[in-house]
Amino acid sequence: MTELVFLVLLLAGGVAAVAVANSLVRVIIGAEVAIMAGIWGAALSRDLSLLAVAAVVGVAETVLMVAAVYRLAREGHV
Amino acid sequence: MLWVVSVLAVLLVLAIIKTRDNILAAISLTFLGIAVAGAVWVLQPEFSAAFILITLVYVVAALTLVIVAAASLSEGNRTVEMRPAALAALGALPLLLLPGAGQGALTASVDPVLVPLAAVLLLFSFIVAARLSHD
Repeated sequence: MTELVFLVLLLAGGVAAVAVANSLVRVIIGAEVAIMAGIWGAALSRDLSLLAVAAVVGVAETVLMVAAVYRLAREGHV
Repeated sequence: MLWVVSVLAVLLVLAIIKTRDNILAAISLTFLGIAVAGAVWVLQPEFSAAFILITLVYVVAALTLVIVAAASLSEGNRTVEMRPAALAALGALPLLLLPGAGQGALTASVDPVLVPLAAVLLLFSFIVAARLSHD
């Protein structure tokens, strides 16, 4: 039960951070919190392979989001 | 034990939401990553290798975020309106109430096939990121 509460907490917290974001960096940070909910969900499946995949996908996607924001910031859109 | 981590996570999320400083928010995110890794450890002690993995990975990722946040500190006051997207994501929460497949067997080893696949995915995303930020 606590596991599910923690999952909902991370999801809702990430979504709330996105909802009140006033810059794209904040949107990424909120999305990161939601990614951690995904990693926690993978841990609940009791399968280390799934956990590893979730962590790797989270990193790849973070790298892409950060690069996109960096590009936007350089072109003056942030 | 998991309750302690949950309370800590609530405090960190509130810190992320309340603070006006991007760097403080990124540092809170780092500690939230460590808290989630600790929660995985508390839930399944067999996954202690995963604790180290997730912690390292998220510390590195959040430090990158700190650098980018510092680089874009001179941002204007234009606001991002993400509320509709966030509310749409919140609408997916009831899906958690659907019955799952139940507890499976504990698998505490990583499938070796995943290693080259994960390496290729990371290489791909780093190449795309390098081309995005250096063209």
